[in-house]
Amino acid sequence: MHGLGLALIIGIRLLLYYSGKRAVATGRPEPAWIASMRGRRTISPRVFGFALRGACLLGAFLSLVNGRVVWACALAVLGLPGGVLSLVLIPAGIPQLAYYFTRVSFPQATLGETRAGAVFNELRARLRWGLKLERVTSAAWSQGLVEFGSQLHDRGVRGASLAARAILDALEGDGEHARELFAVAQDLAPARAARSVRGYCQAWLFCDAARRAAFHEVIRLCQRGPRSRRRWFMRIAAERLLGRSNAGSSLALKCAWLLAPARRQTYDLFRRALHAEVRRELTEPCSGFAATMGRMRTLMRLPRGMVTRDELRCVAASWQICFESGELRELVTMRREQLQGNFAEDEVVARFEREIIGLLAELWRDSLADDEPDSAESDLILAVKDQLQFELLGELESLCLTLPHGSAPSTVELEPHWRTWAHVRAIAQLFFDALPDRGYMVYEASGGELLNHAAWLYNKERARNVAHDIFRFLHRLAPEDDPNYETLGRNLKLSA
Amino acid sequence: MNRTELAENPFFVLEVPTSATRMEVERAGQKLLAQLAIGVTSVKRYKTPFGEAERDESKVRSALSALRDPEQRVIYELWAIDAPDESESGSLPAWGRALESIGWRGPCTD
Repeated sequence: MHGLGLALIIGIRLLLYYSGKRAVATGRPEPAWIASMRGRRTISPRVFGFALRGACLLGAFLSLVNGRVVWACALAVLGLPGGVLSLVLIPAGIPQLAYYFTRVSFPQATLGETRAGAVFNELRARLRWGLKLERVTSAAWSQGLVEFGSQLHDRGVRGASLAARAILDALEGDGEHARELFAVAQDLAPARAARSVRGYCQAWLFCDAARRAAFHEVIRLCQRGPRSRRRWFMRIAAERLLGRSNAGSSLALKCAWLLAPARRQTYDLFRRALHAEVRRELTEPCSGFAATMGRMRTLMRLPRGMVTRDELRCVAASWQICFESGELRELVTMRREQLQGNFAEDEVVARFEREIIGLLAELWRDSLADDEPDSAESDLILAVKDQLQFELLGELESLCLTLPHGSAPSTVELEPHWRTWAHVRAIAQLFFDALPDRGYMVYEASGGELLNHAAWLYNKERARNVAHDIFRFLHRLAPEDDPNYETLGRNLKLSA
Repeated sequence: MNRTELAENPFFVLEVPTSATRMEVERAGQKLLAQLAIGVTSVKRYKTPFGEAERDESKVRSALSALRDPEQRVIYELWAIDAPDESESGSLPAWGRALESIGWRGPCTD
């Protein structure tokens, strides 16, 4: 009797697998009964998965009660596949094991991401000890490893696909693209990326920033993505390492470390954060050109992200006094006479002022935002913010103008769309991090182009998932009185 | 202007004070060029307020060229005025075992 049930399960699984594979391989539509299930939403992969696991666990319990220990263990493994993967198979790092286990134990994935979840887990397992990793990184193999959908649809491209592609990018040494894809996957809607996948993406981004000593990026990353114990620990550790006065206490750091995963590997970071001292902010006003330049050099010598915006405001105020008092102009005039030059001192002063603004903009970009509105800022700081805005929005606008829309012809490849969208998001995120009070400008500058592009992706490319992510991003940005707000809401529901 | 450009200030490259005369600047530049030509290792690096930097013949030549122009020289003087002698680059040590903490023991070539 048990043998018949098992054969039935394997038969259904093979049928589902074959149907999905045939649809992708031949380009023909998938079987009508699967399409109808998805179209009418009579079944959701997630609900199906929960039901299946629940049935397995119930079966395990009944088997245990009846004294069938082997069956109980087997059904328990099928009922808790995530735990088996994360606690046994991935740490073991044996090639192929995590892949086939995922394919067997997550049959509901046939209705969602057909293969990417298995590839994602397989990559994580292989990275554990580096076994047979060279095969993964070879171009020919990795090309077919992650499929970014077919001409029919992109239903298989969700969080795990993006994360797997990002891992491959990182392994190939393309850290910039890996970061962008991980960031998109981390912020996908929960229905499109499992929490474990989003958590992994977030953890990778933390680690990537920390290994570059960019702890200000760690703090920025902690402001988004799934809430986790790792995020709590990383935030406190990064704030303490940057010497911030509002960082968590030693007790909070100890608690966070004890609760965070990978305590052995995070021990050195924990020790450093524990012994880090609070840095005294340099907010006393400085008088005179030499003192202001000295302060500027001091700020520039600090590690990236350690300078606070209050310090920048203070030094900007001192520069403003230097420019307005004529001290700088006098200095330049004196040197011109001594050097017997014939240049216009006003031009030299103006050029120097531009260079100061450029340097302050660089420091402002790396400093952590404190949500001070423009009305409270000095003229020089406003010029700094304007320069940053010009740089970032200029890049964003020129990128968005090149996005296909309207009657642009359909393409075959969906991967470039995801990559372009990841790049757009990365620039927008940089803008939000640097100038949060001007965040609305991102929508004003590129909202229309992005909306048209997303509609084109949905209609022409059948790229429902990437279109949904764009609609979701825009819907959060758009003001409620915007004429496109309702359209965005409708499109968001339609693409869900 | 960024940190790298500031570190390439001709006064730092030639290691002369901002009050140096044209003759002193030329003499310092020619001396460095001669030392670099015969491969004196001690002159291949120089100190800046933002840490040590690499020095080569092209940097010395462009520094000399920049300081011959009074307008450019004044700008560079403003940036180098009262620059401290110490050469500390402020950077926090990176977290070397970061990727290990997510079970990533394979190579990462970034």
